Amino acid sequence: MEGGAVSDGIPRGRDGHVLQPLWVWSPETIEDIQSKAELGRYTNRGLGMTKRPPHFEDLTFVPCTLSRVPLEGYRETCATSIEIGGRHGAKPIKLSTPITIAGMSYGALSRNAKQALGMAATRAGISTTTGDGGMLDLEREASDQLVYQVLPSRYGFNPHHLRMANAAEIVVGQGAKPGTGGVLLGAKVSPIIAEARQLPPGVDQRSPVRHPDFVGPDDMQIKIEELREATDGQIPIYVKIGACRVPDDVKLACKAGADVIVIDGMEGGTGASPDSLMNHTGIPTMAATVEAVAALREMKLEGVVNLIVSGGIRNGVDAAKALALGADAVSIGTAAMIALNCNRPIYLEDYEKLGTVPGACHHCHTGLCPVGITTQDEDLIARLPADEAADRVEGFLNSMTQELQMFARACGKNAVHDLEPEDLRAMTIEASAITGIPLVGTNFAFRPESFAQAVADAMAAATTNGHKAPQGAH
Amino acid sequence: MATLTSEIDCSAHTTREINQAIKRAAADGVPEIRLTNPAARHCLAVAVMTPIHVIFDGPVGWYCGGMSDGGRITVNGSCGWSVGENLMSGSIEVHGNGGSSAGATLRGGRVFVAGTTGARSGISMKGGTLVVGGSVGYMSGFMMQRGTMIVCGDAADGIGDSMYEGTVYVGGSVHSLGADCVEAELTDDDRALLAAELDPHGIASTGVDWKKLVAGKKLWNFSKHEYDAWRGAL
Repeated sequence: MEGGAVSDGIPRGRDGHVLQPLWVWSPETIEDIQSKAELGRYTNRGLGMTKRPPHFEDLTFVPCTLSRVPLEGYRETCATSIEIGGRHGAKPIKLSTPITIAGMSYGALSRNAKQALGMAATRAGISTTTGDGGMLDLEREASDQLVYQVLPSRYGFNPHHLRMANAAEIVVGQGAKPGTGGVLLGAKVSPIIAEARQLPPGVDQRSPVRHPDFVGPDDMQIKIEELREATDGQIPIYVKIGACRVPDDVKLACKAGADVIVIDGMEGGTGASPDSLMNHTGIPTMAATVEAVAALREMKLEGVVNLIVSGGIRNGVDAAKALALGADAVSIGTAAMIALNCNRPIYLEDYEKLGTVPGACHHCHTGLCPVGITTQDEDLIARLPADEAADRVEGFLNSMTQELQMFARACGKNAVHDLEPEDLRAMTIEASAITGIPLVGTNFAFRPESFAQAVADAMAAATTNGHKAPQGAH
Repeated sequence: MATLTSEIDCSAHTTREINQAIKRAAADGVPEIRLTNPAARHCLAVAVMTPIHVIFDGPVGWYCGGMSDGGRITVNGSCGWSVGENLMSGSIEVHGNGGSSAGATLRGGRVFVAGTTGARSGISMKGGTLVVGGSVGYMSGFMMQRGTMIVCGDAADGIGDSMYEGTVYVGGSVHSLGADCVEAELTDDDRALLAAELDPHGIASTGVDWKKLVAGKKLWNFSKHEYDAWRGAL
């Protein structure tokens, strides 16, 4: 061997010995440093985090056997619908299945993508959501139930659109990057998008994170009152929060008067954001769900203030686990995009031009989406006929509903909202500690209160048996 | 036949009742509605979408006239934060002082505050005109996108920070410019605009050392060769 080489995926030196990469200075880290050195700033990209967080994947269902009786799997009725947002007498959003389409901006997404999501939501009997860039006419027409976002930027915000909406959602933060606004790089700020946002075309748009007209939770209470006055109290007010200090944030949002709270975990997606924020801010959706439910329970507002959780929900299984932990519904963004066609292996030459491949493309920020979803290029948009794309999203939504019902029936429930923590077991100590659900094979939840109880039980047993309690155990 | 003026004593009604009464009066073609005892209540005259002259005799709270389109609102008193936020068209005149975020995200129309306003006045303006007879607080005009802000008094630190477009005129002193906010030459067109906006309010536009502030546009698109401009903005 003349020089170093890679054989069978293993880097080897001249003499054939294995060259060990360093953990700190891994090939990924080296590339990251060198690309930043070239770029002169942080790196932006789309989609979401690259790390694996503690996840719903770490939970498993324990369906009925002898101790509980299941419902007949593919036949018996299993209810899925829920109404949310009626806390203050507004007309609630009616979800035929506990899923919503998350806010994604017209600008980050093409008009065909927004229209298709609206059509699919309508066919499935659920709601969809606008985004940073206002309400698109096509989207309003396509969507029976449309949630209008009130974002810090207020790009394209129009009170007439607010009054046409079925709910309003104050966005305090986003799971992918809580504490920071989004980015829409110049390539996507086309003349049409620029006009919709009242911006100069081609500008690198960096959205603000603080609302322009209020600061803290007490102020937000007045903002909520303003939104109610503007809509004559007819529509529910949601508050969407990037998952961080969830117990405090949930309580503050309840106090401010939210009808619905949306908690977006760190797995949540984005059209474009600094890579470092996506991987290093926020907490996972599973953990956020547990904390949000506990906070609502503490305030005796469980089921009164509705809870939607989002961030990396991939299918009906994740949704079922979120519901079992206490969420009223889940919201999907990236999964809906993938159902549209995101990362589908077609137009391979255009993936190649972007320097990526289907299955690992997160180049939403470039505006050159090969499948016409995250682009404003007319030729690329034409690759996503809205009606066909809506069919795919509808199909995916239906599959999620079926999966939800499948797990509920297996657990003996005739409504998906009857799923409960007892239906779950944790596959890892970490998931057990986060959720309070017993670890498989132990019937023991790795939480401080469980340890305290175990010590108390041991002391009681020792006393009963006439043994002296261990010293220091009290 | 609608009467020329309707009058409501706010102290006897909920905010919802007051706002509904304003909207009903506007829909009925009543040209003017006078509201007494507003007592700094929040969210008054929000989203008034039909032309009518709404007069408040006394101070109002937050969001007065917010999200309105086409009406005329007069406040004979001071106002709280975010007066006229996201106003689409029409006018709001406050004959007193304003709070922070006056005219936030204004998209059209005119907001006039005779006295002084707080921090972030004219934040994220997307059009329209904000006139402040007195001074404005910290970071006013932050991320302004379009429109015109006229400050007859002083501008506190960080005026016009990260402006995309739009124009800020300051008659008094400028404590410091925000990131990428630069001074431009005042033209005859600017002087004419200032006269047209200020004369109706009885404020002299001549004999004043106006500073015209605009976006430097260095923050429009990132350049690693202009890192000093981006140091505080990234």
